[in-house]
Amino acid sequence: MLKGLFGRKKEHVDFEETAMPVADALYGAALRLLRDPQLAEDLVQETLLRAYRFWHQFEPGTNIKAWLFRIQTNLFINHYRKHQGEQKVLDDRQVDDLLERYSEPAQVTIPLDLRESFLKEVVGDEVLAALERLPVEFRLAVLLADMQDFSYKEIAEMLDCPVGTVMSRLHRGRKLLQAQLYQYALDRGIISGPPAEEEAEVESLEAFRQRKAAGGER
Amino acid sequence: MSRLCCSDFRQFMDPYLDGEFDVRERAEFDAHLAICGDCRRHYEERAWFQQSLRPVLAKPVPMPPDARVRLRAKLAMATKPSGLKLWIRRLAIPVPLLAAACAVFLVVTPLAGFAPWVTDAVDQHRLTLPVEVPSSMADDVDAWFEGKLPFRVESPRFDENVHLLGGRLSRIGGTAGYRSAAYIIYGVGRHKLSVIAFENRDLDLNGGRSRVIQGKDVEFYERNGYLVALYNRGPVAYAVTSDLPEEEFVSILKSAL
Repeated sequence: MLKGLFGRKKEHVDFEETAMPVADALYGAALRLLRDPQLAEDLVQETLLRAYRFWHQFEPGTNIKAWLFRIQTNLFINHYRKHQGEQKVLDDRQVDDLLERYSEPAQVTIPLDLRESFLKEVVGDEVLAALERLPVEFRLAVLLADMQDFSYKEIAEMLDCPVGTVMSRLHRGRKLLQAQLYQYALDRGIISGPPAEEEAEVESLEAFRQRKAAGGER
Repeated sequence: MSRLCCSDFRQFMDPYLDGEFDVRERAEFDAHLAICGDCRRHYEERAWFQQSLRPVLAKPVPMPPDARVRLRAKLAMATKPSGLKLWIRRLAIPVPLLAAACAVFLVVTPLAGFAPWVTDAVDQHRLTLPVEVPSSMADDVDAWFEGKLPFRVESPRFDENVHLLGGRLSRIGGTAGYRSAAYIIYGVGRHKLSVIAFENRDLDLNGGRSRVIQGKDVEFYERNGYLVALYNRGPVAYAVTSDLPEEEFVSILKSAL
């Protein structure tokens, strides 16, 4: 079916066979980012149209998924970001509050015997709702790492930022996700536990490596 | 090199979990994990959490079929200027070769172009035309057409996954002008399948991609992301149009041929 779309020219066939299978992954990510099926569809359409236009720039044998996600992420940041309704996203105060209260994952450790009920009652739609409430820079990092399995380096290239920034956004994004789910479980009495002390500010990966190389203790 | 402390371990647990560290760095983290029960509990908790969330986050969200059809249509449109560019690029080839290419092009073009009835079949398929005889019974639909058309309509009897929705009168373009046709519509899950039946006399209905299905010759045409399958039954041509994937489409056709 697809073959007929573009005639039989090699580049068209290449595009269909290589790029089109990524359409679903692009759509899934677009939907979680934009939270609107129509906007997600528009974003994926624009991504693949652009990819088709610049198909000659794609190097065969390199990671097609990373290449397409880079295009989509850029389009999202430059053109679509403003479209996503921010009303349901955690504001700065809520982010700080959650990070402070659940700064250490183990401070709200779920006893082993309650894990199953936690999973049963919390993991599912609530995870996706919590993901969609993440401020967009954290959501992007979590989506690209945990939904699409990209490496920090690939994500850094997509977001055009240092690897350390990816690590810190991912760290905070996951923590916020975890904190929201703990809060949800606490509110419903699935788990109980006192939130606690503050954690030191996140150090960049680069600074950490330099410090280790210099042999300094913290 | 200093030994790893607990706060470093916890702060950099993410890249450790994600396999971002090189062998040497990982060995340091492994060593810390082996001697520190507290960090081991933190790590175990975090790993469990990540492991539980991953399947939910990574669960695929496929593009809805109608969105995929629209995507294909957009991409098909986008290929037009690129085809033009290719021809412009080909102008750089030597003149005798170009002349030869043009001669071939002139011969090939009429076959590559879409016959008016293919265009009509796809256009009518894309419009949701109201049916004049809403019925799920093929016999009723066929009987309704009797006397309204100069030929006898036999609505294809597809398998049980294909639901007949009804029919209406229509017309279709041909080299000898328009001729009357029967338009019959079916539902297949979320897809639509339409059939246009018309008289095949004086029409050159070849030029598609031929396939033999159930011993019958079927010509396939592709236009705007839709597949049109054409077969003849005596003096009547049946053009079946759908956006289903080809193999699924073929297996449906098999049930009616």
